Amino acid sequence: MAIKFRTKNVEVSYGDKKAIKDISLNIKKNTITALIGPSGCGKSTFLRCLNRMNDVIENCSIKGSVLLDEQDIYGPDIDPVELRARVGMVFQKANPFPKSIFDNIAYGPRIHGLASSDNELKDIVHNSLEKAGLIDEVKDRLNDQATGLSGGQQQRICIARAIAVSPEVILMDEPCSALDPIATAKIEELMNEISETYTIIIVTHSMQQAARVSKKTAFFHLGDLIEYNDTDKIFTQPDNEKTQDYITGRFG
Amino acid sequence: MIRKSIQSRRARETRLKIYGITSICFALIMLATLLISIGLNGYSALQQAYFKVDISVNMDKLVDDSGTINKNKMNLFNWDGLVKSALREFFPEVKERDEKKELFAIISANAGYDLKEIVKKKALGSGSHTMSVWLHLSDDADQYLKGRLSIDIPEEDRRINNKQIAWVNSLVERDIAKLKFNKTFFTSADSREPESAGILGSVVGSALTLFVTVMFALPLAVMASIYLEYFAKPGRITDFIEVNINNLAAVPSIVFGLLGLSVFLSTFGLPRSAPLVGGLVLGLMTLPTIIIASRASIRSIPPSIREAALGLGASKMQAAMHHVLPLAAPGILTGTIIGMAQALGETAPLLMIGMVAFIIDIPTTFTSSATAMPVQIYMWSDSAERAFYERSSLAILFLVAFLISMNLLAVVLRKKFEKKW
Repeated sequence: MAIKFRTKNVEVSYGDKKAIKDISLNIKKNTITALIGPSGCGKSTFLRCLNRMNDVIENCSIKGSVLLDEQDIYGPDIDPVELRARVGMVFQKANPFPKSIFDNIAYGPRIHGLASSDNELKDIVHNSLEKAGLIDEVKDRLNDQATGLSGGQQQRICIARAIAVSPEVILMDEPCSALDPIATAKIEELMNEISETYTIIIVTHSMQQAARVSKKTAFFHLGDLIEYNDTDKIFTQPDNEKTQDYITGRFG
Repeated sequence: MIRKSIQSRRARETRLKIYGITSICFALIMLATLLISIGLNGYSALQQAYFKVDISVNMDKLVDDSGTINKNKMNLFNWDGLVKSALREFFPEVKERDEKKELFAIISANAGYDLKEIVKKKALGSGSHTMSVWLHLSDDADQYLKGRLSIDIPEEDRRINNKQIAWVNSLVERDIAKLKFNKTFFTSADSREPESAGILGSVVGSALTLFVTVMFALPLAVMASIYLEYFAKPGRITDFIEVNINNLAAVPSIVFGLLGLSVFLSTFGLPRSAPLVGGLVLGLMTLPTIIIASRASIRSIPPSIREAALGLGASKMQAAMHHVLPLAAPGILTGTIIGMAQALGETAPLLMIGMVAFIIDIPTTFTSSATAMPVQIYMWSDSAERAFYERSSLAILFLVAFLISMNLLAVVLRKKFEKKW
């Protein structure tokens, strides 16, 4: 299967402190890839490299190369703004804009000029909500404040908002960490459904979640990539002892 | 053991509470004392002594051949004489030259001018007209009627002698003179005669100045704070800028006045005493206040909102303009209004750029000569006439009311624009 992201010897440091070292990883297209590892292992940092969200952070420097469809995203002719339209992101804490549900979903298409008419915009919003499995819950109150929804609904609004820009990749940074099991199940189901059209990379603390949703899993520890393999393999017979220790709960 | 410590902790808490309440009460009592004493001094300026005269004017003498009022003829006409002869009719026994002079001193020196303005406003048709008009008594007669002039002191030390008191009393007895609402105070600009002086000129001057201030300082401050918060690369230069903004907030206001004098007046040659220059100077003065408030407000917006926008492919500017700024607006607004209130009460920098001049016209443009409310109060409190004393007190009350309404506006706007999460 085609490779979406190809990273070579990626190293990120905040000031003097190295957050991740020498990460080389190939991420397959239209697959769910999970990044697991204990807190502070650099998995979120790695995720944020993939759409250059680290640019926003002061004194953060990056070495190595990150190729999206074989093109270096840190190259001189890449605009991070355009890149982020191709590589969307869902954050740990649901962060809908304090605006109406409609405006939340429509914001991306509006700034990128994806809709030429109001009707087209409405269609995009409708389709995005449908893909995110939210349409039945919110179709009668599109003008309500998105911040008035429940935590799980807010997170799905954020996913719908990312989908609305029609990205190729969606990065998810612990999207379920603040949600109850039912809302988590809904989001996992949603991820499964959309994984046919989007490449999804998810950072998660829950090993069960990684095992449930992902095809491939990468295990990070103290800034190193310890093991990267098919999820089934990682959770049944990992090659590395550290991976074994982590998934059996001996540390983490 | 524990019970004992709990007791002493409770006692400490109670003591602290009492200290707090005491200090709040103290502050409130001080404020009330201040306002009440100013109010007691100033309330009498709401009234003004007027007298009524019957006057007949022949309009034919004052119009052109075409029938419109001729300005020249109006100005040359002896209005003073008209008022004085009308006044003399009340006191036919006054014949001596010196006595006449004393009599005319109980009415306003501007009575003739006021009469002219009244006639001008009435736009009478041709022919002779008789009308009765209310004109100002002099400030001394006014103060006497309000009981603000002590008559116990020897006659030669008083500003109003026994004869004049008798005349005023006789006018009051005949119902020709009385205290009426002091409309002049609210409708005219400054004057050398207290009875003709009003605050409208300085209120308009202050309003024009503040308009320039907010138009100048707010956009600059907002842009500066967005830059410093989101775009500036941390480093020596940014630190230097930051330190200097904080320093600027502590610079005495008169220094800004000197800056305005040397830069705006000398170098750029802008007109002196103008609200434009006053506004620019006050704008420079409030700039750091607004920047500091805006930055605090922008920083209080959760970064997740900005990340959400950036993650969708918004540029830094779009994230700031579409999401952060609207959410930070209430805080920025509050900071701005606090800065404006500070600017409204500022006198010193305005003195340096000539807004302390004696100006009798109500300013109409940003470049016409003007003064501001605190400067007006300062000038009146410096005047010898007793009647200016009550006027400055009333003007202070007016200024305080202006400030309170600005703060109320800040609260209302903040409530209106505040978004719930």
